[in-house]
Amino acid sequence: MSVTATRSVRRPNPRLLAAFAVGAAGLAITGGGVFAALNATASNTTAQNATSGILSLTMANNGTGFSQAVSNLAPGDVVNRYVTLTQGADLDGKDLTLAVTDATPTLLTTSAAKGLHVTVSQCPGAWTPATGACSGTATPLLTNAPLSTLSTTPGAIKSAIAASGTLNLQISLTLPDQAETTVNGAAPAGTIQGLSSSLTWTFGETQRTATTTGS
Amino acid sequence: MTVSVHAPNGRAGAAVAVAALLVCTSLAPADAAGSAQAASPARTISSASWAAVASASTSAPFGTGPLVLSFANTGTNGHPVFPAKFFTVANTGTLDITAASYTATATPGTFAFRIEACASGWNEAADTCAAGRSTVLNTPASSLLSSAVPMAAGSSIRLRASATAFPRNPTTPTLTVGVDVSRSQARGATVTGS
Repeated sequence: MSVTATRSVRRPNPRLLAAFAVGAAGLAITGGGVFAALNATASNTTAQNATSGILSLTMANNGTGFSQAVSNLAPGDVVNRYVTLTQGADLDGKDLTLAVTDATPTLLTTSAAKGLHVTVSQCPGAWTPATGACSGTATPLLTNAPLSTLSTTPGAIKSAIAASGTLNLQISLTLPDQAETTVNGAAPAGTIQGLSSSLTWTFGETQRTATTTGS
Repeated sequence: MTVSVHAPNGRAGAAVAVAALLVCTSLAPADAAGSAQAASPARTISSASWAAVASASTSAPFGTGPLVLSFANTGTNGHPVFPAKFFTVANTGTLDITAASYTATATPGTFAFRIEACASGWNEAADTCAAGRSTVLNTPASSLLSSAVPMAAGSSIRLRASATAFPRNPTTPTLTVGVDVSRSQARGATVTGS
């Protein structure tokens, strides 16, 4: 006796498939229409103004300020320059810093021991550049900082500046006193004499701390 | 001429996209916290120099290094004569100076020397000084701090050097003259403002 097994594979009816597709499409179209009918909006009748604040800091020379070169500085010399910083009217500023960059670095700006140092002082009133007098009590904001440091890490000057506020600053630049002997017209190795640098003074700040308000 | 266009590798493109996204996300906080700056124009600052040099030259450049004066014998071996020589000391620094340290060494060492200044100015042709003749340095000293210097930056003075030997020596002597200027011999520190 022999047994023969057969496997039958049924293929879907093409007509049935087409009918199913048409039905699905119709359902999708009609369903979409139902959702559109359920949308709703609510809006303010008067447009609300939203403006962003402007953070700005400007610097003006008081006297010659930074507009003039400083030449022939001898060890121990102190050169005072005066500038006024003004905070913009919109936003308070914070973390005011001073950085100094040198386009042509020399020992004047790369040596902490031999190079230039700067002290920044604030006057509550006005500085008189010619005499260095402050109409009030001057407050040191940065004391004897080497320019070599300020060229890499800006020095902290003030923690906060109110909008529209002004800072009357005295910038005292000094070359530390140092003994060098010039022998037969030749300066010693590593001399501080006869050097020249090109300085850019940059005051920087960030915006006041962000706030969350409600009313 | 052929132009080959390489289609970007799929993985490489994805890596670039991820990197760009990282850059954008890392920059976003900095942009969110606004910052402001106020910068000055670049201005030159220069340091001074203090220097003086003895030189055979009567005008710049005066060079550097010690001055070696050689005295020719215009006499005889029995009666050697070494005419005096004049030389310049120039202030080659940018600061005024008030003094300098002079050094001098004669060779052979048996020679005596004298360095002199003349306040009214030397008549070098006649080897005379009308007024104000003074000794800057002479043997047995070999160094001395003197105020006989070109005080103003860029100025110069003339000094007279002479050499003699006891007993007489026909050997041509030389005199090496040096000038040192220390910081304390230049103008003092100042405080200025403008």
